[in-house]
Amino acid sequence: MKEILKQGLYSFSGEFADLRYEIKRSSRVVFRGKELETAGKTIEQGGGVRVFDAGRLGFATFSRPEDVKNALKEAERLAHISKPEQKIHLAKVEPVVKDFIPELQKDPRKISLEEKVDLTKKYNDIALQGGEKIASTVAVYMDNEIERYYISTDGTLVKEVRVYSGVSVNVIARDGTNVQSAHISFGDQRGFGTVLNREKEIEDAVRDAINLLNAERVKKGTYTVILDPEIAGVFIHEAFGHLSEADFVYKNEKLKEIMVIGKRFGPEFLNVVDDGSLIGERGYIPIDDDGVLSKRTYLIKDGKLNARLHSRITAELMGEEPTGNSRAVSFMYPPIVRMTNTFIEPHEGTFEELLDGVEHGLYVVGALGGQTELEMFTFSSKKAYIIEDGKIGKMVRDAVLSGNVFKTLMHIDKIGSDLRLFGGLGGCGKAGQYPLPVSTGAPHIRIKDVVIGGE
Amino acid sequence: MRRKILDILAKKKVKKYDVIIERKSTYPISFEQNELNMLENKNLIGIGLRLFENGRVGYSYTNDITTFEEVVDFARESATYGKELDLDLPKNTEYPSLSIYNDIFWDERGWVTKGKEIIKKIEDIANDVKIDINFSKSILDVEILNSEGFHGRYKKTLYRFSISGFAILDSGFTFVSEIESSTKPISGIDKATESILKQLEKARSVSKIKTGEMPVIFAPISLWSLLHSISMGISADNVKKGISPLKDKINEKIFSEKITITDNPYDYELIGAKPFDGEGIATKITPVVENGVLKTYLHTLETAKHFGTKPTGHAERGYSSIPLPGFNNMVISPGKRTLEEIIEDMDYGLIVYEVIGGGQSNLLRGDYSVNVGLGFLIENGEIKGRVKDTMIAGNVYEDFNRVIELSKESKKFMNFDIPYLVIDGVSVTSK
Repeated sequence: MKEILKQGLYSFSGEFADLRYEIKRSSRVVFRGKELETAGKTIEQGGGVRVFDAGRLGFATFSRPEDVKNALKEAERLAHISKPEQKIHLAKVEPVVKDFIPELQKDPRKISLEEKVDLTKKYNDIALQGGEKIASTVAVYMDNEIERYYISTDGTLVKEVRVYSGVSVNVIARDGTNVQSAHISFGDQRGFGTVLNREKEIEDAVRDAINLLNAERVKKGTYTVILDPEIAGVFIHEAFGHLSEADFVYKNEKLKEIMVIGKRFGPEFLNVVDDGSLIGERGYIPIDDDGVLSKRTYLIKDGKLNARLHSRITAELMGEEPTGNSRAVSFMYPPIVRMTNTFIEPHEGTFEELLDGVEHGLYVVGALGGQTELEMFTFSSKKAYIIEDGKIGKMVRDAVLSGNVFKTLMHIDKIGSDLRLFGGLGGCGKAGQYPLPVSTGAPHIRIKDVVIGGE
Repeated sequence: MRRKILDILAKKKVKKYDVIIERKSTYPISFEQNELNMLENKNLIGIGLRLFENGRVGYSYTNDITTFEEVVDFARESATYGKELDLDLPKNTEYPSLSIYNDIFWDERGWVTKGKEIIKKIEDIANDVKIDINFSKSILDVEILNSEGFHGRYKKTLYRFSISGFAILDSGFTFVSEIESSTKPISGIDKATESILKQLEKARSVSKIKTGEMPVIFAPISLWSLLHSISMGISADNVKKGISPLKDKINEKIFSEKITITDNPYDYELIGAKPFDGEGIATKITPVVENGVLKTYLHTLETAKHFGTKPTGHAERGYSSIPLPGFNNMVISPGKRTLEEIIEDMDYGLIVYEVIGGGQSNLLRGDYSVNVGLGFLIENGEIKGRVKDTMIAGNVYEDFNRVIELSKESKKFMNFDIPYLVIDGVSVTSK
């Protein structure tokens, strides 16, 4: 395979070209309610080539390894039509010639479909047996083995294998017309062990769905909030992480004025990291789709903006170093600047210490989703609890946080020590490329003056 | 391709099946932050197999015909765990001929030039704006075949133009966007550009809006997540599972009598137009909600069998997905007065063009709670400044009963044809 692809690519005589080829084999099991909706395996394969020519760029996809030459011609044709304002070049990096094959303790590829069905059924049954209020459940098991090749005309030749596996369970509870749901998912690149022994977490989700039926909608207003590690991770990814992606910044003078390296963005104990080199995490990549080895990048260090995320293209344009953050969601897309594992580093203090001194606040738990439009963000939680005089009170639902990220980061007043990273089965979306596997996380964090929408 | 597939299915002795073959080529030309992106050409073939064995159903798919034999084995294995299902697959039937395939020369150089012209025009008027533009043409070729001898094939072209502007104004970060799409080449490019300029101009001043309940005018594109909730509720699959709020509501009033919703698969300006659905059932114009009364759910073969009714031609299916009911093209009938007349009559309210956070609430239940990305205060019949730090929240099944008016003008985008909607008593929260 490597040879066929390499021969195809090396037929190119221009300035620079690279290719990715992927063969993805997936297993998927879905239970909906009592029904096993689907259990099966699928194959997806194909490749994409990029051609760089005198500062111009073209991209074309192909299906079979033998088709590389035709795709190169098409990409070259497109590069010639292209008339960019600014010439596009790649930052120089050392070529990498290496295979990256993970060592997995329990390899999901060696587990039978039957065992995967049984496991999913077991988790689904826990949800279904949650009582008469449980209206429906969705339990999903998924694994992907992706055999990937990256080859470039400047000498990089990489084969790698990524093996993802994970489970998600969605529980829908109903009381008359009141319908509530709770969702849990876990997934990473550590192997089949990740999806085992999760019964208790599913029992907790079932209890949440039922309790949400009786929970009141949160009262809208401005609160001191404590975010749990899950939603704090989504917050830092969505609200801040995307602003650190250099492709957002590099062409926009005004945004450049805001995202100035060295400028204060939060309290001095705030450190925000993107690290693609964390083996086993869902956002782990040994090497990015420009052929750059992954590494740890401090986006915020001691409260100050420290660096941003780059591809080889944006690094060259901005005169900074590539960070190994050029990623494509599949062979159908060219790579763009993306996050990997993004998190707030732990500081000090237990959850109780964060609660201490909060007279009237909100403890917000779990993330349903998040969205940003540059400085404005909204993200919704799975559940929340009223905090009164430093103590956790009753559960409320539909807590949706929104605000301005720069103000909100400055309002972080405590960061705990209990960092957790979350992978799951979904991923990040950008420019139509979804779902890109990433992890997000944080310790518990406390923020003042957060706007919560509701009744 | 079809011959090869039929040969393998015969060789493997598969008795009952249907297959979807999708071929898609896309030629996008995009500009990001005023600059041309790399040009792309994307080609994808997908083959999806569903088979029925021992009273159960199994699925698999691939992008490569050379692995189709393996895919038959995968689908068989899948059927051993598959749910119990036996369907009457359609035999060869008549389906309408639609003018949805309009393969016009795609002038890539021309679009590159056009994009640069648009950006120059906007920069001349507002130099602090960053523009993203996307022109694209796709050719979709869909084939369905089954063991009853059905073989249907249609080709469709999809043309799309989208433009969004991003500016850091004194009023804060601002996003504006427009989208045009059709199976025929797009004509409204200059109009969409004008609209972007107009919105940006209006976004420069800020107004403070009160917190409370008030009438809100939703622009068509801002309604996306509410419409998605309704689609989910009308899906017979969700009704069958007992999780749709519209369960047992056929012939009952669910919305204001001003609301009429139709599925129109024949409008070539809407990109969901098609002669038959993902299971080979001929599509037809379907009244779904008439004057607020629910007339039907949307069905696949499976849900129609479950409810003892006829399939309605609403099976949404790609090569990699199982058939589920959904709108081909969702059309909400327009009202009598223009948006301008509606605004003139409004004492105090909000007009919303863009929302942030749509789709994050409990969609099935119909809840929404979103940040206003771009919206303006309306006071004494006039559009005032832009509102900031403002959220709106509610429930589509409650709020669509308080729709007081729909505009005369509608917007066709993707597979929607939607007027402006005026909803009374929407909860607005402003910092």
